[in-house]
Amino acid sequence: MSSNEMDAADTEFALRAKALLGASADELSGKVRSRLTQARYAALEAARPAPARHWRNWAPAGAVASGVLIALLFVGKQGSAPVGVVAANPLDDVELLADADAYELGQEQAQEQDQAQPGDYEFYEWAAGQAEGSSSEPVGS
Amino acid sequence: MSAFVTLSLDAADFARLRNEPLQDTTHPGAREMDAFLAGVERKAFRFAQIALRHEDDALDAVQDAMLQLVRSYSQRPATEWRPLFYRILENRIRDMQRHRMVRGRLLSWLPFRPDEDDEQADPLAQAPDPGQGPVARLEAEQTLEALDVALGRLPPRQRQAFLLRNFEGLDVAETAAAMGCSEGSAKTHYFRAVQALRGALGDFRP
Repeated sequence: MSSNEMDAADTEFALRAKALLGASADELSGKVRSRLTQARYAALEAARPAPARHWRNWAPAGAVASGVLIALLFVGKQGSAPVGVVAANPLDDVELLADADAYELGQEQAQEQDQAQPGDYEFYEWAAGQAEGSSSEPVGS
Repeated sequence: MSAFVTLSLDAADFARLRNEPLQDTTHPGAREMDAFLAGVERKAFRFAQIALRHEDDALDAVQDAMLQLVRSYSQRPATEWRPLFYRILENRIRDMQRHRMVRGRLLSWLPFRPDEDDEQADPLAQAPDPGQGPVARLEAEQTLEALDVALGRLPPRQRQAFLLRNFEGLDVAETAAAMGCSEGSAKTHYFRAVQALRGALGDFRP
């Protein structure tokens, strides 16, 4: 008989221990069982192959388009600003484009400015009247 | 040339296809792995809990072992998963025990120690409810606690051999594979574990 052979008492002891340990595993608390389930799902989820991300293919094109748009805003503003008028910051336009509320607020502010300066309309009416009056007079009178 | 392609399936082919089970080709082996982990998780938790004596640490160890098995070994044959899983789990347990030892040494130098009430979980509070009367339940809890303590005091290799052979039910070859040793060594560790447990528990009556 080998020195590592178990006798009947060893075997009986091992069987009792096995039963006790098995019962303890079967009767784990709900909290532990729930966390084990979560751990299993997390492990399986981590091994799931990552879904194909097509948006990544368009990322360089999007970056280029954004750059072109910003450049156009800069160039367009600098070229079209009339003399004596301070050009608005082009970044303000970008912010307006990015924020719908900011756009509406800008529109409201523009309307308020128009109402606060009625003299401009009166000037245009007077100028139009002058032009009509001068054209109706006979030449040389 | 014909504009249509005809399928050359005869009656035998149709019968064969009808009898073949549908397989989840989107994630091959996922169901098998899920079933394996579901079957092993409770015993694995107890395996780690006995060694670490802490519920949260045991859960962390089991989760790490699951993750590593799925990531690194899911392509291996399913028959190898159990020994591999327990080998990973034992390595994780040893890492945590080493970490605890280093942390304990560092904390021993500090004049003020953090409150360790959360570190040592009440073993009686963690014991399962066997659904018996109060006296029988108390006896079962005490017996289980004594067994857990005795197992926790075994040398790591003996504890590992005992839990793998006795609790998890691995055969000698699987136990040796999980322990990374020869079958003879696995047998010797198991035998010595039984002797040590009998010596520690004495009149052991679950």
